[in-house]
Amino acid sequence: MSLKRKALDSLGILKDMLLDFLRLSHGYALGLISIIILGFLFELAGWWYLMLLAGGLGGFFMKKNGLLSFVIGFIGIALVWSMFFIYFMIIGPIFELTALITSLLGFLEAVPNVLILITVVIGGLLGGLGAVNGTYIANLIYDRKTPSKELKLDSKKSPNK
Amino acid sequence: MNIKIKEGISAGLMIFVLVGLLITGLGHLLSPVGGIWNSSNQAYYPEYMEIHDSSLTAQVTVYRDLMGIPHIFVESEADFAFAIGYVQAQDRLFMMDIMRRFVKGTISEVMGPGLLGTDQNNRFLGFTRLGRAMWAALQNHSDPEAASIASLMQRYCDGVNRYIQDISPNNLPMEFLYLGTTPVVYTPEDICILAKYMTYMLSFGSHDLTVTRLADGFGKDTLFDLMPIELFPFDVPIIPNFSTPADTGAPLVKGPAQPEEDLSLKATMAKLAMESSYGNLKSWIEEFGGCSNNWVVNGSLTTTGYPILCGDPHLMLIIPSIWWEFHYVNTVTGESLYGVAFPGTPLCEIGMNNNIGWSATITAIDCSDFYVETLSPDGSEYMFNNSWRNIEQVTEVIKVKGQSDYVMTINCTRHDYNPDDDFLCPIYPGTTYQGKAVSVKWTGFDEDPGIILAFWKMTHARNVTEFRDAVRFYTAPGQNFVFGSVHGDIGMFPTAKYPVRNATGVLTDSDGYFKGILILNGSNGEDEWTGYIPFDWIPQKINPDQMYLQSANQRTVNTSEYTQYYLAWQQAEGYRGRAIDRYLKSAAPHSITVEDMQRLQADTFDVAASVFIPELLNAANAYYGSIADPWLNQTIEILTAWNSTGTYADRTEIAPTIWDEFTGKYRYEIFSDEYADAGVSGERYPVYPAIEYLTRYNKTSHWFNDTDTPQTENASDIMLRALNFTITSLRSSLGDDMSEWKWGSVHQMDIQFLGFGMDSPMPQLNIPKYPADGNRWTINVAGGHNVHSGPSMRMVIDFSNLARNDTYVGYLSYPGGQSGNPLSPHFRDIFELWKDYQYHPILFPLSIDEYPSDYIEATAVFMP
Repeated sequence: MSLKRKALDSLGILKDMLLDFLRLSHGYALGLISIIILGFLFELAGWWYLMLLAGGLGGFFMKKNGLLSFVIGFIGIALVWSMFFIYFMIIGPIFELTALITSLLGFLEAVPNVLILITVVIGGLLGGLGAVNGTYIANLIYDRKTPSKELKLDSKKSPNK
Repeated sequence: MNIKIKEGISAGLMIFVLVGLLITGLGHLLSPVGGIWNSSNQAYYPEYMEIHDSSLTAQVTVYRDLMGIPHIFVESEADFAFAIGYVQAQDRLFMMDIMRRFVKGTISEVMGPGLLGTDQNNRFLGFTRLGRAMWAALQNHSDPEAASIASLMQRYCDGVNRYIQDISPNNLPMEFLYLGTTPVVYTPEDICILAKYMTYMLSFGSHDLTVTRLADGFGKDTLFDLMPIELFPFDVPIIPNFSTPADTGAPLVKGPAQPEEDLSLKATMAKLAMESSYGNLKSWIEEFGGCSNNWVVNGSLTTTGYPILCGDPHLMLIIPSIWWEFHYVNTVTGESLYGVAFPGTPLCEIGMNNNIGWSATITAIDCSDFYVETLSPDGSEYMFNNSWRNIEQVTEVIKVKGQSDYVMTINCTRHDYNPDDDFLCPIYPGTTYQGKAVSVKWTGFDEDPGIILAFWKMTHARNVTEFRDAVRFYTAPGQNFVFGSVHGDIGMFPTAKYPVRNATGVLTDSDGYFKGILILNGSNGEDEWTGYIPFDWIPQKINPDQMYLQSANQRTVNTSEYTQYYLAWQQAEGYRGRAIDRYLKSAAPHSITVEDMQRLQADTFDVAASVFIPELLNAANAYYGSIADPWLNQTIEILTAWNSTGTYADRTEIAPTIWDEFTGKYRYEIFSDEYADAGVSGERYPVYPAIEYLTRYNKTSHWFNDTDTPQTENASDIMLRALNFTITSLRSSLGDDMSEWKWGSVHQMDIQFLGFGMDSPMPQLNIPKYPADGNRWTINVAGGHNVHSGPSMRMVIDFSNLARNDTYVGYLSYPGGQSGNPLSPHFRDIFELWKDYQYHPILFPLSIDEYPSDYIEATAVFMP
């Protein structure tokens, strides 16, 4: 397969994902909103581990492929945690804290603020993994078509349209 | 990929990530809410906050000033206690919690086996047991104010606990998360436990063991010739012109002295105790030569006509500081109080109210004794007053992080010859020898809550009579309380419960040693405590003729004037006291200003050097230029210049480095041979005033003769030898470039994050070392090369301002800041003043209306 063809396929997949996301019937937009709201509430209570549940419940609404669920779950929780950090930056010397923590840990001392990025990524990972598993569980419960098959079909169909 | 496989991988990955975050704790640490980010979120005080608590009786307003110091306006003392608990915890909760763990002997539970020894020591002395007993005694005390004081302590704890409740579980400071611990409920017992630990730090001493070894090695006459119980001619005692009180107290019966048991056996037991496997014998006072300054001058010496009082307690220099400032005003009664408290306690240890002010230095009067106990063959009994008693046992279980629990059993005796002394005296492990063992008795073991009663009464005293009545209650550790008032009175009260050991009717044993100087006999009843020195017999002074009073932990009183009781044999060396006295006694009438007193607190004039350097130059000048030794010549030139400009131990000078090295070499060269001959090498050498006496008044003393050489040496020979060794040593350690020998290069301030008796748990938060002025003998004290102790606070009270009801009544600074949060702007802002010998003004508005509105950084309102 040529490089050009690979690129076109990838673009096709992204396009399909975007279209899937926008189709209300696929539930991705609803899932993202759920993840953000639940993630915010759970985190406000300090239950960081429930980011998995927030992602999972959001993922439950999503009816197509797992990869897209993961991406949406990741983005949802990463957005929520980023909002917290933006607020923290306003109310306190958070960059002094990252410098202190990284010096205590002896890790990332040259780029202490990467600690915030790592934290957001961890949050996103929890949301993403929760979402993909939520989607799979929903698929099993409702015996929906396997997302991978649908994805393949869509990918093949799209060039012929 | 098969769908089942995908689901499996996805689920497995999720579980892996979750478990990983749980096990490493990263999830909790990094969580935006409840994680480490709290510390930056709480770095600034909320501009306005309200706390609603139904236990309050009226509204409380707390203004945080620009230094973060709370000014608490209340209608009742009970509400004040609650509010101070809350705001103190807001500033220092982690410090309070970790110190409590440290003192209670539970620190290795969170910090691992490296601190097991500390836990063992603190369990051995039993601060938890002592604090618990003290709290019970306070609740049952007959003093009419005891019940209300106990109630206030509970209210303080309510305030602390309300704060803990408010921040748990999601807003704990990062230090808790870092150590994986959480704060537990604060109780009045905890206050008492901390009070007991401070008592230990400031009064426990093991001199008796050292002196027993020296007495055995040298014999009494030689030892007392070297270090007499009397004052040296140059000593300046704290209490001038002691006069016998009208109440003669309990007269002592001068009966026949009893024969003593074998001194060599006592010396062996003393050595075993010093080598005991746990039970640290050295308190902070001994480890760092614990010391403080305070003085007060009468209005006849000041420009204002009112007294000025100064205090700089020399304690551990750590960050956050061991002090925390506060101010409160009772808007109903008009009472006001400003001062400093140890975090974890609501007591104002040093400070002022509307009428009076006070500060404290430790007295170092002898409050601990070691007994040689006689054990039964099976070790289950001990002999007390010639009859057998059962050994009592205390079992302690220490939880150790990463290890199984450590169980220790402590054998104890009771020396309750005086029924009031019905408390346990622990036996040091590893001291059993020939059917004997060593136990310790110390006034700190007493459950008497006098320290709490006294501090509470002192803060309410309105004049010198009431203050004296308040310190009468004081139990331990011994403190020289200096006093001043708006009425013009000044005073000094070296107060505590000081034991009297005269069960045989005499204060000395058959060899003439005061009982209490050596290790004691625990079995025959002759060395037992029979009571405590009556308060009127404790040397004290109000409004002396000399118009000032000063203390720097030196000798309390001239022993030729005070023969009724034994106080102490070894106290501070007296050079700081002489330096203060030198300045104050030369002050012209109505000449002293507050600024003069601030300068005196920062003074680095070394009295010891001013005495020794001329002697040294006299000895060395004979060789100046006559021998081809450029190093000796250059050293003599430096010391000569230093001597001519005043022996100030400033960090930029080279001479203090030479002098410091010389002092150690000189002492070693005088005594090492005799100590070796007496079999006591390694024991503590005599204090420097003893060396000063020999050097100034007895230059041909036998102590100067080196027993390893055929000729006879005198003081000059030994000084010159020590100077040569000093030069060799400094060239070896600092190099041949003398510009590198500056005092500040080798003498540095080392202020560690929570480095109290243990390595800092977070050394990254230590204040970077920096060159320090002063030495162990200067008013601005800074002993050692890495300075861990010194003026933990400097305060100057101007009673003219207090008398005029001015808004500012004095000056204060300490090495730290109000907040324990490393990210707070108030973590070390006061340190920045302190290090440059500057102060912040003491803001003392007497009502909420007088509070300057541009001095409010934050407001907290407590509502019922």
